[in-house]
Parts: sequence; C-alpha cells; structure tokens
Amino acid sequence: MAQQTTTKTAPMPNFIERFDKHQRYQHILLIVSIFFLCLTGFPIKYADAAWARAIVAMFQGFDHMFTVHLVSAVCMILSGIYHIVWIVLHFKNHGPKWAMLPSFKDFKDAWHHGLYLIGVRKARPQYDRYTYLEKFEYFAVIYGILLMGLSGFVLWFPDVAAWIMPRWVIDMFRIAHSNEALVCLFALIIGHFFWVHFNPDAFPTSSVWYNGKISKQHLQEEHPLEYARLAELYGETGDNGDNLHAEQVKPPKGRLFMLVELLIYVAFVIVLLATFIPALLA
Amino acid sequence: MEHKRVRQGFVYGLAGLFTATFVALNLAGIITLLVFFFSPFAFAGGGIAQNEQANAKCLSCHSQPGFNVVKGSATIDLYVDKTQYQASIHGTRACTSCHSDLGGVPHTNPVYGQELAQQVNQQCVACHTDEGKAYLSSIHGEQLIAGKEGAACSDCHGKHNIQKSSDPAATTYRLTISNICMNCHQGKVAQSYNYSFHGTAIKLGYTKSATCADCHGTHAILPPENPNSSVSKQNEPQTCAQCHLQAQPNFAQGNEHAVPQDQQNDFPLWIVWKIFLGLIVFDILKDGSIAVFELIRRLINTRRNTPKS
Ligand code: HEC
Ligand code: HEC
Ligand code: HEC
Ligand code: HEC
Ligand code: HEC
Ligand code: HEC
Ligand code: HEC
Repeated sequence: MAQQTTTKTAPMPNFIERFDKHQRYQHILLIVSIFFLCLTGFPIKYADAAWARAIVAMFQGFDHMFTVHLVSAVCMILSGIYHIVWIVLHFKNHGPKWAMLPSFKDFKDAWHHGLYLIGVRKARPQYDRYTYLEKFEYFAVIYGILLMGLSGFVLWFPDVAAWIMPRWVIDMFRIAHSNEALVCLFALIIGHFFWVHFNPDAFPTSSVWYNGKISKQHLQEEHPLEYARLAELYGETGDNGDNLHAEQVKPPKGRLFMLVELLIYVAFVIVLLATFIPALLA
Repeated sequence: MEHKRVRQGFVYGLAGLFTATFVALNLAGIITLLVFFFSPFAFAGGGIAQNEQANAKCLSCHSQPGFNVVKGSATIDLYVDKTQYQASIHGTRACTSCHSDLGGVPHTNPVYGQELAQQVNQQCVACHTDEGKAYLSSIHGEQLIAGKEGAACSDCHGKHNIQKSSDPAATTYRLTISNICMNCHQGKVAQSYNYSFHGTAIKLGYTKSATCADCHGTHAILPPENPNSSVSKQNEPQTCAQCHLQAQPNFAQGNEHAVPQDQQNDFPLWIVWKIFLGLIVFDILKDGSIAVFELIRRLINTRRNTPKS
C-alpha cells in the first residue's frame, strides 16, 4: 500500500509490497493459533478415533491439550483485536481505505468467473486489489472468529453464560462450535490453500504471507486493475510483464502436476460430499 | 573442669534417654504388629492366616481354569482367578464372608444368577452399612430387592476384583465408571454422554470432567422425577456447582441427555446441527468446484499455449 506514495521517478519495482509488517504479523498469529486450535480441537470432536488418542498422548494428557486449546483461542482473539487496532491506526495515518468492502462489481465478477470456469467466457474477470473470493474469505474469517470466539467463551465459562441463557442455548452453542470448526477447516484447506499454495502459479506457497511481496507479473495477472493503477503511477504502460528477468518469475507447474492435483481434489471433494450430504439429509 | 564434666554428663544422659525411647518405641511397634497379625480379632471374619487356609480349600476346586457347572442348557463358569482375588481389597477375607449361604462343601444349596447376586449383595450391605443404607433407598437397590432388574453392588464394583475407587484398576475409577453405567444404560443416555464434552473428555483421560456418578451420585441414585434426586430440577444446579463455580438455575433449563440427531425432543440442537451441515456442504461445493474447474481451465490453457514442436 505504501507504493502509492512513491515518486514517479523511480521505476516500478519487480516485487511490490501487498501486506505490510503488521498485516503479516496478524496473519502469522492467526495461522499459529488456528493450527493449534484445529490440532487440539478435533480430537475432542472425534474422541473415538485412534488419531485423537495419539494427539492426546502427544500432549501428555488431555489437561495439557485442553490448555493449549484455550491459550490458542485467546491468541486467535488477540489476532482479531490486533487487526482492529491496526485498521484504526492505519486509517488515522494513511486515510481510510475501502478496497476490502464488497461492491456491485464483485457480484459481476463472481458471475463472470463462473462463466469463465465452465468455459463460456474466455477471459478471466479483471480484478482490482481484492478479488471477490478474497473479500468473501476475509468476511468469512471475521464471522468465524466471532462465532468460534463467542461460542468458545460460552463453553469455557458455562456458569457465567448461564446468567443470561438457559442450558439448551448453551448446548446450541456447543453444536455450533463443533461444526463451525469443520466449516473453517474446509474453507481453509480447500478454498484458501488452493489459491495460496496448491494453485500451480503459487505452488508451493505464495510469498505474500512471509515477506509481504507479490511479483509484478503475478499482480498483473491476478489484479490487473490494481496493476494498471500502479503502473500509471510509475509512468509505465501497464503491459510489460515480460521485461522481468526470467529468474524472477516462477515458471508455472507442468501439466502432470496439475493433473495429479486435479485427481486429488476430485477424490477429496467426492469423499467429503459422500460423508456430509447423507448427514445433512438424514 | 567442673562445668565440662557436668555438660558431658548431661549430653550422655540425653543420648541415653533418646536411645532408650527409640528402642522402646520400636519394640512396642513390633509387638503391636505381631499381636495384630496373629489376633483372631484383628479383622472382621477371622485372621488372615485362618482365612487363607479356608480360602485355599475353596480355591483347590475353584481356581482350576475351566472349572464349571452345567445347568440345563447353560454352562456356568465357576473359575476364580486366585491372584486377582488375593490382590483385591477383600483378598485377605474369607470367601464365606460373601458366600455365606453355601451350606458347606460340597455345597448343598447352590444358587445362580439373580438369586446369587441378591445373596452376596446382602453380605455387602451388612458390612458396608453406610453405602448399604444409601444403596437400599436408591432405584438400583429398590429394583433389586423387589426382584426386578436393578444393579447389585457387584455390577458396579465387580466381584473378586474389587479395589478402592481411587485405584485406576478399580471398575469404579473415575475414568471407567461411566463405561460400567453404560453397560446397562444404553440408548440415548449413553449416546448423549459420549457426545457431550463431559463424556468426551473423560474418554480422553480428563479426570476433572464429569462422570455419570458425579451428576447422579454413586449409591443414592434416584430417577430425576424424585425431588431428592441429585438431578431433579431443584437439585441439578447444586449438582453442577460441584465443579462449575455457580449454581445457576438456568442449568436445569434443558435436557442433559440431548443429542442433535433427535429432531423431536432436541429440536434446537437438531436445527443448529443441520444449518452447519448445510454450511459445510456449501463450503465443499463452492471451494471444491472452483478449485477443480480452475485446474481444468489451466490444463486446457496450457495445452493451448504450449507451442507444438
Ligand atoms: C467381596 C465379596 C466376595 C468374596 C470375598 C468372594 N466372592 Fe465369589 N462372588 C462374589 C460375587 C459378587 C459374585 C457374583 C454374584 C453374581 O453373579 O452377581 C461371586 C460369584 C462367585 C462364584 C460363581 C461364579 C462366578 O464367578 O460368578 C464362585 C464360584 C465364587 N464366587 C467363588 C468364590 C471364592 C472361591 C472365593 C474366595 C476365594 C470368593 N468367591 C470370594 C463376591 C465375593
Ligand atoms: C470339591 C470342590 C469344591 C470346593 C472345595 C468348593 N466348591 Fe464351590 N462349587 C463346587 C461345585 C461342583 C459347584 C457347582 C455346584 C452346583 O451347582 O451344583 C460349586 C459352586 C460354587 C458357587 C456358586 C453356587 C452358589 O450357590 O453360590 C460358589 C459361590 C462357590 N462354589 C463357592 C465356594 C466357596 C466359597 C468354597 C470354599 C468354602 C467352595 N466353593 C469350595 C465345587 C467346590
Ligand atoms: C465381611 C465384611 C465385608 C463384606 C461382606 C464385603 N466387604 Fe467390602 N470391605 C470390607 C472391609 C473391612 C473393607 C476395608 C478393607 C481395607 O481398607 O483394607 C472393604 C473394602 C471395600 C471397598 C473399598 C473401600 C474403601 O474404603 O477403600 C469396596 C469398594 C468394597 N469393600 C465393596 C464391597 C462389595 C461390593 C461387597 C459385596 C460384593 C463387599 N465389599 C463385601 C468388608 C466387607
Ligand atoms: C451404580 C453403581 C454402584 C453400585 C450399585 C454400588 N456402588 Fe459403591 N461406589 C460406586 C462408585 C462410582 C464409587 C466411587 C465413589 C467415589 O469415587 O467417590 C463407589 C464407592 C463405594 C465405596 C467407597 C470406597 C471407594 O471405593 O471409594 C464403598 C465401600 C462402596 N462403594 C460399597 C458399595 C456397596 C456395599 C454396594 C452395594 C450395597 C455398592 N457400593 C453399590 C458405584 C456403585
Ligand atoms: C452433567 C451431569 C450428568 C452426567 C455426566 C450424566 N447425567 Fe444422567 N442425567 C442428568 C440429568 C440432569 C438428568 C435429568 C434429565 C434431564 O435433564 O435430561 C439425567 C437423567 C438420566 C437418566 C434418566 C432419564 C432418562 O433420560 O432416561 C438416566 C438413566 C441417566 N441420566 C443415566 C446417566 C448415565 C448412565 C450417565 C453416564 C453415561 C449419565 N447419566 C451422565 C445429568 C447427568
Ligand atoms: C446392572 C445394570 C446397571 C448398572 C451397572 C447401572 N444401572 Fe442404573 N439402572 C439400572 C436399572 C435396571 C434401572 C431401573 C430401570 C429403569 O428405570 O431404567 C436403573 C435406573 C437408573 C436411573 C433412574 C432411571 C430412570 O429412568 O428414572 C438412573 C439415573 C441410573 N440408573 C443411573 C445409573 C448410573 C449413574 C450408573 C453408574 C454409576 C448406573 N445407573 C449403573 C441398571 C443399571
Ligand atoms: C465433576 C465435575 C463436573 C460436573 C459435576 C459438571 N461439570 Fe460441566 N464441565 C466440567 C469441566 C471440567 C468442563 C470443561 C470446561 C472447563 O474446564 O471450563 C465442563 C464443561 C461444561 C460445559 C461446556 C462444555 C460443553 O461442550 O458442553 C457445560 C455446558 C457444562 N459443563 C454443563 C454442566 C452442567 C449443566 C452440569 C450439571 C448438570 C455440569 N456441567 C456438571 C466438569 C463438571
């Protein structure tokens, strides 16, 4: 975001900052806390499974595992608070930015993307700084943290929650907590990980989360409108992805790679649907 | 000089006194132990040595593996594991303290099944009067005494393997007692307990979580409709407050033994469960198909872009 203040005289750098330091810290805090929340939470949901016992054993007993769960939960909430504080300070220092808010264009983009995926339209939608999927994910994370945090505190302190709610509402929160965990997990490993890890252009990982930078070429491909705006700022024409040095652009993975990945995804999705659709309809 | 001698005498005197006391105490201890060990009054039901002799006679037949009796179509196992019995809390007691109605050897009055259970149960109650009193007023005791299906002491504690409940080998140990209850209480009660956080955590070894007996009590178990029951609507908050800091009246507002699968009785849980299953399926369909179609598009695109050589 800082580039927009750069003077016109410098050439556009090959790597552009997408996330600043604080955004990366928030994200890393979120990664670590959610990793441990899943690791220590799913054994409680699937207590009968052998792997659940193995994880409990790894933590040397339920006591420790449960403590890690509660500590990670607090860290997750802290990452949310960090984010809010960061937004407030950032708005104060750099003026408000609303690129993350949904707009009518997102609905058009979603429709367009759908048509592109089934082959009706040949070109991808022209995304701005955030694609409609990224915005969806962002608000899904906010909703997830709020719901998991709220229901988690209800279960952590049921006697306090019982000041204001009857037992059966506490139990509703338990069902929500236990199942929303799966919603989060699948959104992460199928949705989010596809875009930032398994997508052949990003594999094995996008670099944005650790150094905050996105390559010029990547930006041009995935966020052409933002790229165009930046290029104009730097006085470049906006279509010179190919004057990058070859080694700076990661070659997309081969077709065999994509084929294998496709098979894995199809199998995974079929297994999951075969598990959850019968439960839904039962 | 004078002073030194006095001091020396004092020190020797003190040392002598200590030694004498020490020796006396030890002797007293040893004598007490010996007296108790051989005294026929030391333990209810006779001395250990005597009991062991008597038990050896019983075990000469009953500790043979495969020792059994055929009654009609059923084969009844009469084998008693000697080492297990001797390691149990009653291990030094006479077999006859529990089996008092045999009528000697060979037994003239053998009984089995419910009758045997009742017979032994009377003996347990006779020795363990406090637990016995609570038990006799409980649903389990009432049912058993009335000759209906109930639970005998031995259903929860075992028979020849009884241990203190604090011993992890005991059937009534915190982490196992719920399984004992669930031998008999199956169906929704067991299903909901296994699903609940309390049950899950016990299963995974969390001793602070609630067992069936924490909520229902051990011996004075009563149906929830009974106002004296620990789980009646009036008493339930107090029961939860053993572990949860506040006895909230709201704790009694809802079914303890609820499962989301029961649409009729636990509708609020059922509807939340379905909503979230819907979200899960939506998630898989949305993210899964985007990933799959993106990969397909990319495969097609790379083929188009690969220069033919
Ligand atoms: C603490 C009480 C207790 C003592 C002491 C005890 N038993 Fe038992 N015994 C039981 C109970 C309880 C049962 C099972 C009753 C039932 O079927 O519910 C039982 C059952 C039996 C049976 C029937 C088969 C079976 O296993 O169900 C035999 C045989 C037997 N005992 C032998 C012995 C012998 C031999 C000893 C001494 C070494 C002994 N018992 C000591 C409580 C006791
Ligand atoms: C000679 C071998 C023998 C000896 C010694 C013996 N038993 Fe038995 N016991 C049997 C047989 C045989 C049966 C099956 C009797 C029947 O059902 O007709 C039996 C059955 C039992 C039963 C189950 C029936 C019931 O009424 O409870 C118990 C309990 C039992 N014995 C306890 C004992 C005890 C306690 C002793 C020691 C005092 C003892 N036995 C000594 C052979 C023996
Ligand atoms: C002859 C009397 C007698 C009979 C009959 C008897 N017990 Fe006991 N029981 C005792 C005594 C005495 C102790 C304490 C032993 C000790 O602490 O070493 C004991 C200990 C126990 C304990 C462990 C208690 C503790 O405080 O740690 C349990 C549980 C128990 N008995 C259950 C039973 C059951 C169940 C039966 C019937 C199947 C039974 N007892 C029959 C005398 C008896
Ligand atoms: C429904 C199951 C059940 C029945 C039936 C039952 N008990 Fe218990 N009993 C327990 C449990 C569970 C404990 C452990 C309580 C605790 O951990 O504080 C216990 C504890 C005891 C203790 C205290 C010592 C200890 O182990 O900590 C004695 C003694 C005892 N029971 C005797 C009896 C006798 C005698 C009978 C029959 C009259 C009987 N019990 C029937 C479940 C049962
Ligand atoms: C957290 C406390 C708690 C635990 C743990 C618990 N119960 Fe209950 N139980 C209750 C309450 C409260 C009721 C009263 C009915 C209700 O609120 O649903 C009840 C009711 C019952 C009933 C009679 C009502 C019915 O639905 O049939 C049985 C039987 C029962 N429980 C058995 C068990 C067994 C067996 C276990 C262990 C597997 C167990 N309970 C664990 C609190 C508990
Ligand atoms: C040997 C089998 C058996 C065992 C073990 C057993 N129960 Fe029971 N229980 C019964 C029977 C039989 C009844 C009475 C029939 C009925 O009402 O369901 C009963 C009744 C009850 C009731 C009242 C049920 C009602 O519907 O009103 C409760 C509560 C209960 N048991 C709890 C427990 C708990 C807690 C344990 C474990 C500590 C336990 N039971 C162990 C057989 C058992
Ligand atoms: C033997 C102790 C014990 C008893 C009794 C007990 N609980 Fe709990 N319960 C726990 C522990 C430990 C936790 C874990 C939460 C924590 O550590 O804060 C817990 C968690 C809970 C939770 C949140 C977890 C979840 O997923 O449901 C609720 C709600 C709850 N208890 C309700 C009750 C009610 C209602 C009763 C009384 C009928 C009760 N408890 C009795 C020990 C107990």
